[in-house]
Amino acid sequence: MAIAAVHRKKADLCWGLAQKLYDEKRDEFLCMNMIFNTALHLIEEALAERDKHPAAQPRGVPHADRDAQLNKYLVNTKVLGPETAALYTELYATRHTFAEGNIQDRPFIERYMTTGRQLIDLLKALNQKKTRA
Amino acid sequence: MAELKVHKELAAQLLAAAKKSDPAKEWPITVDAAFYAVFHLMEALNAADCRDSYTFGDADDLLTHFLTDELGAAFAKRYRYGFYFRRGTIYGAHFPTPAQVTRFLRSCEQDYAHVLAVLQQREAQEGVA
Repeated sequence: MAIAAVHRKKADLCWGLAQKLYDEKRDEFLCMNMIFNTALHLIEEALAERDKHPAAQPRGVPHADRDAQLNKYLVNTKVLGPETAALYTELYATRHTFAEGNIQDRPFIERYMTTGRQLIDLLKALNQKKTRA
Repeated sequence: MAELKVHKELAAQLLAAAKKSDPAKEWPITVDAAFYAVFHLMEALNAADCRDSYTFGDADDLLTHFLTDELGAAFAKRYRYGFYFRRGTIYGAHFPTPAQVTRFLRSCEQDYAHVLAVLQQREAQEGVA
């Protein structure tokens, strides 16, 4: 598992790539993934700072456990507001059901970017505070 | 969870994006696009038999119990290498070298071509769509 500094570095890299794809209006599936990867690394940076790294199911990835840990250690302890968890759940659920009948288009990614940016701004503000403390 | 044609079209788009990306500066795009190109083509093959993977665990189970018969043990081994490479680089502690990313892309290109050939054979023989 990665340490907080690695999560920060990967979040910065993915956020740069997400914005590039978004500005160039291409590859909506990959843009969605880069937005989601940014959010997940910022959440895991905040969790890693508190020694609470999420785990994955066998042969899986830790999306559901990250959701549980976000609620338990960051929202229930009032480090973050409940809107943070709602935004993450929306990003996670929307991405999970992305291909129910169609491929992501420009209106989809505009909505996804709006949700993602709100969450990313909240998480960046939290992690900056922790860095300064 | 989608129809065969959606998986197939998305897989083609993703392979093109993977090839276009810079494996040194844009490796998260290269890795994600190349992995999902293969994954969605496997899902197209699953959709041909009315199956879906709800999780990566499902995908591995379906590979073990069904797709290995059609795609072969060597493919299954390469898919698992790809899955863990993506997980370690995208989610985990590792930063891949450009050579590792290029090798991964080549492996995915090979897998993509192999699955597409099997899928096209089934489409021609059975009319699955």
